[in-house]
Amino acid sequence: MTISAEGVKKWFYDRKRGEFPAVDDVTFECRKGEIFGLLGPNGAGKTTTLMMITTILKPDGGKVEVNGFDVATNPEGARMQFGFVSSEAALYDLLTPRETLAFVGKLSKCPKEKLSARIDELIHLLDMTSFADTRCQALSTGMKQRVAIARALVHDPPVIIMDEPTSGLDVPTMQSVYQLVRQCKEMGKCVLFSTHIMSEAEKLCDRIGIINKGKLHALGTVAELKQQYSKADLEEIFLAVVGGNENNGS
Amino acid sequence: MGHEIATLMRKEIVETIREFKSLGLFIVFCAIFFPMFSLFGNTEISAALIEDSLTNQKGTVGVRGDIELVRQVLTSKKELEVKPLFDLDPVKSIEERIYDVVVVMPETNSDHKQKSEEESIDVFYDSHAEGTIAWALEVAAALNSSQIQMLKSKLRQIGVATAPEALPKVHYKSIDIVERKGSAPLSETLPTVILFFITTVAIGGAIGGITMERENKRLAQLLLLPIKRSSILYSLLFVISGISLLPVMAGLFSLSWAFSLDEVADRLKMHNLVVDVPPETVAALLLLSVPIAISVTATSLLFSSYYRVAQQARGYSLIYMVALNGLIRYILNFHALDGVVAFIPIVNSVFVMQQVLDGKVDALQIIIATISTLAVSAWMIEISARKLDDQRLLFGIERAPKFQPRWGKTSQSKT
Repeated sequence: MTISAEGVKKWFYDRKRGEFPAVDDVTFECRKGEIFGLLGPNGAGKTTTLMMITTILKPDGGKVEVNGFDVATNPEGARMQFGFVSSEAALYDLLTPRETLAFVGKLSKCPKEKLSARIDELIHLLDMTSFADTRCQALSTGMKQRVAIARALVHDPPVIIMDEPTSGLDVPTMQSVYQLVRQCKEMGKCVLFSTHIMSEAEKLCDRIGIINKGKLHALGTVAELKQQYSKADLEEIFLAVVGGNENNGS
Repeated sequence: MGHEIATLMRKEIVETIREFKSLGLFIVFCAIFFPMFSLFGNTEISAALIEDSLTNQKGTVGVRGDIELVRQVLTSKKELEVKPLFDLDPVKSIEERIYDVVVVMPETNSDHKQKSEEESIDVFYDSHAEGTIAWALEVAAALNSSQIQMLKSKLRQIGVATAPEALPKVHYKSIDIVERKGSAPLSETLPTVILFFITTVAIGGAIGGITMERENKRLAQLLLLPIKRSSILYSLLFVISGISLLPVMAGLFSLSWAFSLDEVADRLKMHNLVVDVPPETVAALLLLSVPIAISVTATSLLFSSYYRVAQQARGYSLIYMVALNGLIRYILNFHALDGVVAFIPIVNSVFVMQQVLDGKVDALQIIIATISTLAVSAWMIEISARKLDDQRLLFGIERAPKFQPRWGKTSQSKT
């Protein structure tokens, strides 16, 4: 397996509620060549889980490993193993996509002799040729998201972690993201895909974990979940799991 | 780590070059205002420069001692009327506005002849009144420069000067004795001006490099890369301190050029002020500005690493700037610390520059100041690095307070 989360816990605090569990005893694994979907309403704990996997947040309990690297004891080693895409591209406005990829590639310890070819390959793969040398400040949201995806792939990591990567994208760009996620799977990468869009999860993911209020309530393939909950589609399963409109999480 | 820092620095430099307009404007601003700030910050020079506005006003000089000698010396100073002091106390006579300036010439009796080298001409004036500073300068300059030969021969006649080249020293009451040996009387103002400009650039750069990046989520993206947290800060430290030296460089060259102008030099010479900032002094000052730039940038990075929102950091940056500059000036002027000021990091790099401008170069002091300042800067970078991935600053995630009132506790507990 490439991502393993075992009894992961994270506590948050606010004045109104005091300390409360943002992620509560979450256990799942994501294998090589698999797209694992983390499905949940807003505030369910998806992003917090991903932040712990990506070493940005420290878990308050449990164990997370990325490609065999423990995020608590060897965060730098773990960071070499994944590429991360979020809904916010967060690009450097004054750099071009090509420069951005070169910058991230160098910092991710990409071999110098391979980096240029890898950048060209990604620019071609993600259809970025027309704007590869335009400053990021002049790019559209869709273009920026493609650059963000390329940035996550530039060092050719075995694990891709995506946090609602299609948020705010138009339909054609969303389709190209889906296509790219499938390509990653075909390349044997492990893809952890977080979303709150049912159709997206149903179309893309091999296995799905439904998370709500910090707890992982269901885990399995779409077919397994349908059988387990005796429902016709994922939306109904989701509603059954999270309890109707009860999605006013953290 | 070196490779990481070099890559991060290259990115910062490219971004700076592509957005050079604001920095370019600031450099131009420094080139124009640097000489002005340095000049007007200096009591003597500003007094010299406001002279024109006072030439038509009358001032009264009281003289104790050889009044004829002083009258002759001040013949060209038409605005100054020379009168005897009689038995009045010099300071009291000024306080009671009987005289604007009082000159006390050396005694002529034989008891004082042996102590001739210690003799001095005392020029008293009201240090709180701008006009009297200018008049005091007029009198002192006249007594000390253009008519010096006449003064010397007269003094020899009355038996004051035993050594033929011995010059009487003019003591300004209420301000320190000014040695006019060719060194620039800028040691008080120039380090402060340099410190101010460096702080302005450093705090702007630090807020842009950390707080704004945190707010725009770009810092989080950077933290996902397999790099050391301190590499991010070291790259910012080197680039921002380098950039902060650009306006200083422009300002110093502008200052050097301004003082080389005949109009400015002649005006200052009239007041016996020899201010010369040759290119080698500019180079030395720039070198001495490097530890100041590094330490102030490290302090600014530490300051900005504690803020989540750039707007908030900018709001407090003015307090930070005033506090930092004020504290450094306060420590430098706090004479009880004179013996240890060379060992106080950050402050000592400003102190060393002041010493160099005063012509008191001490290589050991420079080395101690530079090493201690750089060590403290590195320590501040390490502290800032720990704050980079602070979950409250990065994502607004609050930590539970260590002490909670009993009624504030919730039913939930960690299990």
